[in-house]
Amino acid sequence: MARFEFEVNGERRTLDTSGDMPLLWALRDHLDLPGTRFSCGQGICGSCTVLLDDTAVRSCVTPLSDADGSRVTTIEGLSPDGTHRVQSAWLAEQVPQCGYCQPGQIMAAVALLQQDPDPDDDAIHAAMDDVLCRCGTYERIHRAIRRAAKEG
Amino acid sequence: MVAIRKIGRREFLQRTGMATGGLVLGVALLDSVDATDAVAADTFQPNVFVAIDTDGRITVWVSRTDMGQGTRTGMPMILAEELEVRLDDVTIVQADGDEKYGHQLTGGSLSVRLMWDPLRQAGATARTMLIRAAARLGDVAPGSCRARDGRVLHWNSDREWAYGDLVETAATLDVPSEDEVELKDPATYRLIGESLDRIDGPDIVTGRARYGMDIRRSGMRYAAVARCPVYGGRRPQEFDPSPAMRIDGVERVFGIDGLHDGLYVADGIAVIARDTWSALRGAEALEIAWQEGDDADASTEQLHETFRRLVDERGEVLREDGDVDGALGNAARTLEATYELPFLAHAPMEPMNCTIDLRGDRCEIWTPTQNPQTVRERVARLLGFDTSQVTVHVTLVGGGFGRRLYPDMELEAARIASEVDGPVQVVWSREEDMRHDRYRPASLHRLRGGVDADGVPTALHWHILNTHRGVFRSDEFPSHQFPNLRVEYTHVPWVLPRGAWRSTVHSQNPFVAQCFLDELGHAGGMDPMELRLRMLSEHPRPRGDGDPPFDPDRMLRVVEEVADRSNWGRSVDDGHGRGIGFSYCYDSYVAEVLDLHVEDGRPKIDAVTAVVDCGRVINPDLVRSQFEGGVVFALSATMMQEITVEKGRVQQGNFGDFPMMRLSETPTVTTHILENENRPGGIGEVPIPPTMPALGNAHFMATGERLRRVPLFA
Repeated sequence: MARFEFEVNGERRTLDTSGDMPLLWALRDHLDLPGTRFSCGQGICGSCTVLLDDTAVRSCVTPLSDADGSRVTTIEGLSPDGTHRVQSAWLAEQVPQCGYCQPGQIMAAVALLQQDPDPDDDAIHAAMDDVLCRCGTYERIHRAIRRAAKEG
Repeated sequence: MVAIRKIGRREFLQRTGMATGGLVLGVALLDSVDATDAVAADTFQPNVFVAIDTDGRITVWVSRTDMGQGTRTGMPMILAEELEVRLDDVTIVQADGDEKYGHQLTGGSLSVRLMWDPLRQAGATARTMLIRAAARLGDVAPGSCRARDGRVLHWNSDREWAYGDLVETAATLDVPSEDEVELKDPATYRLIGESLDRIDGPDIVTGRARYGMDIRRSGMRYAAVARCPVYGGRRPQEFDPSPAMRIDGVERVFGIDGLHDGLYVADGIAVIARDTWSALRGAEALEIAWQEGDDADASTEQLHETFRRLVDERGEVLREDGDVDGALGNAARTLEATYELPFLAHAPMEPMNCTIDLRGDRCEIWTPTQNPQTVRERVARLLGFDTSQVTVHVTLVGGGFGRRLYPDMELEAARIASEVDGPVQVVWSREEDMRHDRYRPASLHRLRGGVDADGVPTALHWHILNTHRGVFRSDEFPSHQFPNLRVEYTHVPWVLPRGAWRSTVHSQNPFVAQCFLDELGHAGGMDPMELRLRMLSEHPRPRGDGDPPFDPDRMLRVVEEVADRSNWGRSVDDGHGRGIGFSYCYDSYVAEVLDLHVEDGRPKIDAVTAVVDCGRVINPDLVRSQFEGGVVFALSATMMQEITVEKGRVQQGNFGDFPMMRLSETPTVTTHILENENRPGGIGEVPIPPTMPALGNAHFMATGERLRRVPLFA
């Protein structure tokens, strides 16, 4: 057991737990932020993607100890009212089907656009190819990223 | 509460045709909606689907599950259309599992097909009563009033009444009979046919949407289960719980019995913990000496050997037209081919889970199910309860595809809850989800076909060997199109439990039939599109055949349209190929042309052109999104997915060895909807059957190589 302190969506949070607990479960089960999704548990699918100091990480394989002292942004903290340009683009293109993976898709897209405000197809593929969607919403994800880039 | 009824609810529903008419079979509604339905006082609720309060707030109950197909948007659109309100003014409530809502099994692409009549009737009945209330208040004739945007307007004066002001009066009126209620003229539709945004969109993109995994109850514990890796295996009476108990956060470890009846729930060891992580780690840490049972040596390799051995024996003849053996003997050319299709997992992104609170004589369940009434009945039976003691809340569903039609996870959760005080959430790891699925069956198909001197197919002998029963509908393609046809079937029972998988048998037979048709066309020197158009126009399946009745003109028109829209006749570069597939299923007619090219020996799917006639369309964008996603789902299966078994164990466990398509691999999908006024057909499963053979046929055109073992590019 150890004490971890980090900033989550602009709020300072502390948690006493074992350092190998993945950030995903700390967020979901201890910090009441279930918008970050569990799906593969192995860092394969990207449904659990969050920002750790502006970098997209797989929270299901990121030990809490790696987040200690860092800034974590989850889907709940992306914007106060759901109007971040990536969220707006997602709605404009009506991307989601079941929607379960979409928080991870959106966080991965946010990280991409922070690094590359006008990504070409290769850059979109590189950033998004490892974020899986069983419903197959990829075509609209691609369109939404292009739209967010244009409107950014 | 305002006294809102002078007749019983059952009578209302009989009068409105919901209990007996249309497609709603087996609707058995409560005699009344009582206060336990949590309807506020002073509320006008003429039926189980809609209520309006005195502030004009409109609540619509969605009785079917949304797993991404947009049911929670499409269903309220139908009711709101007839009620003459805007969709923005409607609050939706997900209905619990209860027979008062009629049929609630979300499968078979049924939601719009089943609910089209009852939801229109429910909205129109409420509208009619509100107009009558206004007429009474204004002392005018109902015929001089009309409803629009949540108000009733009087034609001959400026007077108008908001719905909220009419509620108390409306609630005192008799519910009109069905023939007193006039449905809207479709020409005046303002919502139906519009691409309105998904109601759940804003919650999904902000993370506020709540799936089964996201349910949180005060004092809730988390559970994971180690299950016997071999189907039908049993847990030992004794085991060592200490590897799990040593893990921080684990509170209890105990064995649970499965169900070894037709449903099948695995025996397991449950680990109860203060969070999901501890529970999952605890279950992983256990080393259990399972009694693996009779199937500990089963392998899919053996199964396919069995298929190959049995294919030469006679099967049960499902269809026999003309003289197949004679026609094959007289054919100018004959062909024989064998196709093999694997087991498939559903692999929804949200793993199986269930939250349950069993206290005393009450059981409350929150679950992402496609089938809440069955959950309620089965859990009640397991606990020795009456169904009225069990409440099943349906959450948003993170992908279903047929997996969540089965109540195994809720029954397992009920076993666990019997040992735990207070609420508990049972979560399956991805590996447990994939290894304890109910799989799309495996099959082997041998086809022998013949063409005449003009290249026209004349005979087909098709032997289907399948691990599941009920694999061929005697009216499905290519019945009627071959003058000489024999379809034989051999059931090869096997250890893996079978599940409905998006489009069920239509994920198997159309691939085989439409690929082999191309093989015959190639043997006879006929263009694949030309061959299909000829078969459909010269030997159409009879009009009115089957249930629902088949319309050969609609099928032909869809194929003609896809030829046109895809510019089928255009020249194709070396290394490129195009393929076609078509299907009639779930009351919808569909055809697709798929374009690909081969790059470094691997196919790259460039585009899919889809044409669908699904009757009247509620929301065209929902149809288009189902095609975009359905194509990806079908291509993932046909290109790269399979479930294999060795030593009785499913070998795949995660998205690494059960892969799916990625963004860069996704084709552009263009969907053309042939609008018409036929009854709405299904959509959720419809894109799957034509995509699979279109891929195989396109690959053949590009490479000259006919691939007959699925997955084609594993």
